[in-house]
Amino acid sequence: MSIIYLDNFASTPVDKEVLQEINYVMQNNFANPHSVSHELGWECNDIIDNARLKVAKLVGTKSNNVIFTSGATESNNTLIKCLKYNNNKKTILVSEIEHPCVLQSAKFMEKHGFIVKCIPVDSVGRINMDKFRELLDDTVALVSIMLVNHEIGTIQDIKAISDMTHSVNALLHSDCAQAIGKIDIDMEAMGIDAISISGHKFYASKGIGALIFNEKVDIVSLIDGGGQEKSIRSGTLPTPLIAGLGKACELAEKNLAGDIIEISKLRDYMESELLQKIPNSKSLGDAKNRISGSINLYVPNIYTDDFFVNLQGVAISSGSACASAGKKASNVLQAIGISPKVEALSMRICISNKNTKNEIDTAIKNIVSAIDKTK
Amino acid sequence: MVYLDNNASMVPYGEVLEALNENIKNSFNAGSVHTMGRNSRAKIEKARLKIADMMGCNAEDVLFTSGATESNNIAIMGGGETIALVGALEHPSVLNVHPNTHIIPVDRNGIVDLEFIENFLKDKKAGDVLVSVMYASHETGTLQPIKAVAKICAKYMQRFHVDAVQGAGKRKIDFISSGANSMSITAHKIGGVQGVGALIYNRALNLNPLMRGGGQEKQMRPGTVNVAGCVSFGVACDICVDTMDEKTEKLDYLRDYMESEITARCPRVEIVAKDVDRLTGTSRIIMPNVNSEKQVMFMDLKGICVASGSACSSGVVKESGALRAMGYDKSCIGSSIRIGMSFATSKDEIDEFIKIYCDMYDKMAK
Repeated sequence: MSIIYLDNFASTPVDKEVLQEINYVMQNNFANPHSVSHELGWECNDIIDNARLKVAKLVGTKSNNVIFTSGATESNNTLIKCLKYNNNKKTILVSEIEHPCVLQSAKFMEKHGFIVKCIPVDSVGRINMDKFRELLDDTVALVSIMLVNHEIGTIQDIKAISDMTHSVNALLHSDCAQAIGKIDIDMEAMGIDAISISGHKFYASKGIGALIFNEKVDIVSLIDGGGQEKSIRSGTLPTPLIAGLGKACELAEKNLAGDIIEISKLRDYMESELLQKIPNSKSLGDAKNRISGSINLYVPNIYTDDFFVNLQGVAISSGSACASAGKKASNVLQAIGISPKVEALSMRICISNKNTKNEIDTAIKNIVSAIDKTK
Repeated sequence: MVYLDNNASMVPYGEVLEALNENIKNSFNAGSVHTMGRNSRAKIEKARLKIADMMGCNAEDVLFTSGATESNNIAIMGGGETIALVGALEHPSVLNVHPNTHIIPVDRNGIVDLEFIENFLKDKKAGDVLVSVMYASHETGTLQPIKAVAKICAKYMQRFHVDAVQGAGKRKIDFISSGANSMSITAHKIGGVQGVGALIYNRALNLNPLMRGGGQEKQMRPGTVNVAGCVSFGVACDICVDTMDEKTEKLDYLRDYMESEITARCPRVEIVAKDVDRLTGTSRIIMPNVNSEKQVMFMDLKGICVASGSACSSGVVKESGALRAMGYDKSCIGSSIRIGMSFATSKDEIDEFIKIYCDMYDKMAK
């Protein structure tokens, strides 16, 4: 029996065209892209430049603002730890629903004399703008707020956040791992100074991502060596994976608007069916401002572990993949006022552009039957 | 096109490409608890075993990273030593990392000065110095006396890291008996793909991570694991182990043949580190007073890919710093090229290279 994959917050399947691109480049352009002494090296370098352009275009910036990394975790670490901070600006603000790699990178800075404060969110996961305003002062150097949350899919009003951030001359960084390829990102229009992205969250492969930032951002390196990527990120660039990332950006540029419509239809259908068929269930997050594939369903009086034992043929999760391996309580759900209980289930579902109506129907059936068994 | 720049990035094995394709299609987040996530996790653990097998270490000693540059950075900065002592021929990802780096001089063959290491460590407090010496030089192929260095480091109780990027998969490495505390490797230098590597070390070492985030790789290397990269890396290791002897025999033969032909026909040419134990398939050839850039351009126009220095980011053909460190004079520094062969290199290709090299010699050096 094939499993229906609805855990697209954790990782998406790789698009066929992306896979073709990776395979092609892998076979034909295996040289070191930093080899300057022969044609095969130059070709690799051209492929990378071309991909860089596509990435930049998708997020509304210039290609020389794009630094390739191994993924969003590295991008977030680099930005937060390696920013050249000014001596009298030593406060970092992060939202309380950030991914662990942002929270822990910020925490790491505390050891170096920084003050880190968490911005609370409201009951649907949107930044509490009043509290944010209270926390903002001239000592704030950096604000890091994810554009889209990885558990409930909430989209922030980033333009308003950016206006407020810039009013105290701070920089705005946004972890866009869950936003890219799901909603339109225009760094310039949105006023975001730096973003982090990961290939495997929007149909490219794992092991590749980028840190993208404008002229206002001055950073040093996290990883040193041969001086690749303007000395901000040393190491041989993986040409095939980068070509795949570029292809995924090109596809997103082309397909995003249509994807949003199609995926929303499936999501709305699935959500209303589940809400109707599972007594006492409720939907978490912001019904209005969330990415098209996202459902987070809360079911009281159901033991999570038992539910997952009973669930057949559907891949979903109860929290973020990194946290769930360690079985930690979700910081996101706590932040929106859901206290962790063993006897309550939160299902994190994310639909991709590869899922079909038939799959959704089967998934609904299997989820409902697992709930019935668990009761 | 004749590709002889395998020290920069090796031609990938066909099986590696298949494994990559298959696993990119079917790999999920290995941190997910569902069946698909668990399957991905199992694949990673299987790959870890294969890497351990090649490196002569335990599976739990293998930490997956994005490549050797990252591995070297973790190894060098992770212990908190105040001083780094590194070989003169090391890769930039070893040379340019620690803010207080001292250099071990090398002899004309590129071999580190053991007496210098001993004298340097003598008056240092135990645990203050991180020593890093590569297994084999990417520039000349010279193999370093790893066991001897390890002994000195152990005597003075200093941590010893080995950048094994160029030795792994080509020589039998036994991490546990080597005396090294850690080793870096990367897939794309052994017939795997770019973007995945590993740091081999005993977890008792308690290194600090470079990054923070989700708890992947036992808290040491957060970030969603590159499943397809790891699996295909494992496949490359398997092939390297299985074919090591025949490959070494073939490449030693091709290299010796190439070097003897070229030195016979081009009398002013010199082979670097010719008389010491070198990595199989690697050769650095000096054509005195003929600029490396001119040489690699000549080669490129004839469809032959070689290198001068190591492949970095400068965008210009750089002279090899190695020869300067090895005490060569001006006529040689900046006048050499590097040949790196692989399993895919054929006798015909080497004959083609010899022919073109001799043409070049006739035009430029005679």
